[in-house]
Amino acid sequence: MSGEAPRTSLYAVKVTIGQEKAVVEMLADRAATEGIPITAILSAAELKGYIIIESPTPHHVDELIRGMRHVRGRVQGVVDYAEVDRYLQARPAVEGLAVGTIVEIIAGPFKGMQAKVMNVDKVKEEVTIEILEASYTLPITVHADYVRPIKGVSP
Amino acid sequence: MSEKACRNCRLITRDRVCPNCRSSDLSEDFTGLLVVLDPENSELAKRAGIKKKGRYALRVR
Repeated sequence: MSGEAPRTSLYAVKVTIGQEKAVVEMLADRAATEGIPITAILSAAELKGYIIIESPTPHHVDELIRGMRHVRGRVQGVVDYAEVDRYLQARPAVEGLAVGTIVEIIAGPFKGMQAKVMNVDKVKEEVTIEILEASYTLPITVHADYVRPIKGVSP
Repeated sequence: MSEKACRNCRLITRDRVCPNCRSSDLSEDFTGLLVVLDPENSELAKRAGIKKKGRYALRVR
């Protein structure tokens, strides 16, 4: 960590859900063509309905978003850099998953079902799970992004 | 050609080879978007380990 405080701040902007990436592209184009001092713009998959704009002052953010389609306005105040760190640093998808962990499947045909982790492949970032609601054991292998741990290792 | 993200430096490109690091290890499966306009003054770019202007993915599978 450098001792020097950043000269820029982060501002959250509310946008239409599903249009985050399109808005980021349009704003980046406008900042470049109109010479507005914006240093970076971020859209994270986990952050639905919001984008983060990095700029030296909030006035430049207001100038940038004025009249832009799908923009609902700037959120008052600034966003802490520590809060966006988790979107920037690629953490392994299998983090928090171990054999015996109870998980919820968050995508695909088994979405919403609970399952128990039977095997973790750290290299491929895949987990083999057994669906708890199934009447017979059916091991399936899915990407670790498609499951969310809900309970630690069960006995 | 559809957009792909470099697994090495996360730059998003339509080329077959990453124009930033010359890697050919590209993936269509990526999420998030970080547009860096001024890498020298951007704390976000610094924290993400990005030194060049451009469009980057946050997560590449």
